[in-house]
Amino acid sequence: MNNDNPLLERELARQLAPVPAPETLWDRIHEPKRSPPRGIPITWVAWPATVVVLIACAGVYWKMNRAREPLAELPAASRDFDFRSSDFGAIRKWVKAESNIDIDLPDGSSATAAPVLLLGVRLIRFRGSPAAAIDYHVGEGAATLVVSGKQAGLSGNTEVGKHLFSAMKSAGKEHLLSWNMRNQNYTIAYSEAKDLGGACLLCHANTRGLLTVN
Amino acid sequence: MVVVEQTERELVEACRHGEPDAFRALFERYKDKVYSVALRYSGDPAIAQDISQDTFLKLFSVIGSFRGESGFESWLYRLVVNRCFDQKRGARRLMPLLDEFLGALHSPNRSVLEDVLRSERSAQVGSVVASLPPEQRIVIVLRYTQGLSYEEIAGILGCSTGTIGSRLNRAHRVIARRLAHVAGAGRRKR
Repeated sequence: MNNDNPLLERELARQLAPVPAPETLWDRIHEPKRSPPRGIPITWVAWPATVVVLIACAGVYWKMNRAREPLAELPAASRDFDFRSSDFGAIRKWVKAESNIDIDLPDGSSATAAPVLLLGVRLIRFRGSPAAAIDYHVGEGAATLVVSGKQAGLSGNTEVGKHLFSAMKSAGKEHLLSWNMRNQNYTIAYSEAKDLGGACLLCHANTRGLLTVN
Repeated sequence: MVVVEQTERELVEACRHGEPDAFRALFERYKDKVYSVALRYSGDPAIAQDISQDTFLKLFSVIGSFRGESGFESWLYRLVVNRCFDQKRGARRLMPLLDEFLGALHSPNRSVLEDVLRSERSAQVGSVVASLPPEQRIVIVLRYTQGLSYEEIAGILGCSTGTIGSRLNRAHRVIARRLAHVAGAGRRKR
């Protein structure tokens, strides 16, 4: 009857397939937890507070979505680097020459710390602007740093080294960190959240152990 | 009382007479369907468990009123659909997608970005479906999670098959457009 897009229908059937119920479900039904009392009327006095809370939640939701949106716009990745190198200086020069993107380092920092193994860089589109995605390993951890080109109006301190963090999230071992600096957006995805400082070793030689996620 | 081999009608009848084993057998028979609808509708396992719990508690409390005019399964689907609609949007977790992204970041031998993007692609459909209006979303879930026909969905939702077809069409167009937009953003490389 409605079969004008069989590919879409197949994809929907695949992605929305049934799932088994968790084993604990019967326990919840057999011995249901007593819910907090319902039906407490919201009086007109409570409405302003409710509106304030809703506005605050909307703000948080908007901010969190902003943090998520860049990932949704990242292109399909591949291991085909546009430029392969284990030399961060060479990568920075290549990125600058090819895309005019600066990858700023803190003053006095000239080399990547010893545990960092650089793999290469790809030039991608990120929120409509050129960006560089640098893949590297730190010990057993894998990381990608995405650096956008300068964007007018993007918040961020103009001083090198001053990070204005816009998103920080961990789940299990993994971690995602995003910040603005000098009108550029930086995002790190790192596989070892317990030692987030490891990911920072790409640009900061002495950060190991400084950033710890509990 | 052995209930494992009972037919649906016998099970329902045993439940109406308050047989505890029958409740458990009925639960075992339908738990996956109820939970799947709840999960695909809400996009959140915790909320899906709440919906499932409420659905079965409601089922056990009102099963005495089930007269069998419609099929039991349709009646059960109506209960879970109503529980889904009762869920407040504000109760949804804010960033399930990001959790899924981060859940993929555990392989040290692959590009983290690559894992993030793979996980993102698999989450895109769920995300787009979650953004649909409730009346379109539930039709999509009943159609593709449970594989129900237009007639069955119409019976559950209490509307015509034409309405179901129209909602599905609209939902398909929205999903296709939003997925194409995401894919298009991914292809705009250099």
